Amino acid sequence: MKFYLLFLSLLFVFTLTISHVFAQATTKPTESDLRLKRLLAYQKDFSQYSGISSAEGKKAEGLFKDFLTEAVPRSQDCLKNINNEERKKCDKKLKDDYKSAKKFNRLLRYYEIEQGMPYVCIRADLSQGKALEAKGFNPAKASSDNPKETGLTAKKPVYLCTGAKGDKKLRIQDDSGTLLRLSPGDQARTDLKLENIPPAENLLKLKTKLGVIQQ
Amino acid sequence: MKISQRGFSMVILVAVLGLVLAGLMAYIGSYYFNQQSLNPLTVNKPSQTASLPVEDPEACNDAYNADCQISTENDLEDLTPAEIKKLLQE
Repeated sequence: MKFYLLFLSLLFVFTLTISHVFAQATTKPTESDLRLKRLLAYQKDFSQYSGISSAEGKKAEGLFKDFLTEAVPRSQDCLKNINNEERKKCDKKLKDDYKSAKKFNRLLRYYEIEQGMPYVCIRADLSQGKALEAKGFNPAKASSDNPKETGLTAKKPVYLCTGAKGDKKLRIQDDSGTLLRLSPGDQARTDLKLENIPPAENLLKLKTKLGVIQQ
Repeated sequence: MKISQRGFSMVILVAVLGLVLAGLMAYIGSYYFNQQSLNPLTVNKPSQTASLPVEDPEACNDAYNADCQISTENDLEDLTPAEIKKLLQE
């Protein structure tokens, strides 16, 4: 009887250890896994861009589709590779593919914003050149009883978003995720006037990089 | 110590049950942790992408090079309109 109890206890500990290790192993995807997951999500939800109607936007959409058709299976095959050297090459290629996919997505979102589609956000600088940063302002926090609370955030990237009616607005994302208005000081900046966003040279750079226009 | 035929069968049975239990717990555990890591709005520190260490020193030696501020999750540009609607102060 004692033998059975001891055996059962050991088996229980073994079971717990195995399940813990197994669970931990599945929770830590690599950077490449996450990048591939994002590429797959773009491919799966490609119909989300179907509202784009401009000729240039359609061209970008077609280029993105072709890009994903090639990049996704290549990355999937490559990540099965267990050879260290080969795997390093895969990780590098996947990183480049991921960056390109993000650029395509950003450009397509820009076309959506230009068409007045609601609730779309992109980096105001299109992640090209010098980053556009500003402070956000939360009026609810500013009017709190705490005299030290100014309602201002630290400097963060500026986003160009659209509201319910497709109207453009600039926003800063605070640490809770909320998209705040710019601080009064930043609202007065010329480089953050809506007519200057996104900066023309950044847009040109992005379109050229992706082959949507020739320079 | 001598193990009888019945005792041996019991050991095998317990071992099989243990393996089944291990598989079940691993499945539940992985599902639970995956749910946590997949939920895009619960692990929310999205705006910190700007202060993330740069990945590629060759391409990202300029702190103001916006091209380098890459995050694989919780990117506003990847959210759906419904998700953005929740976050936007009109």
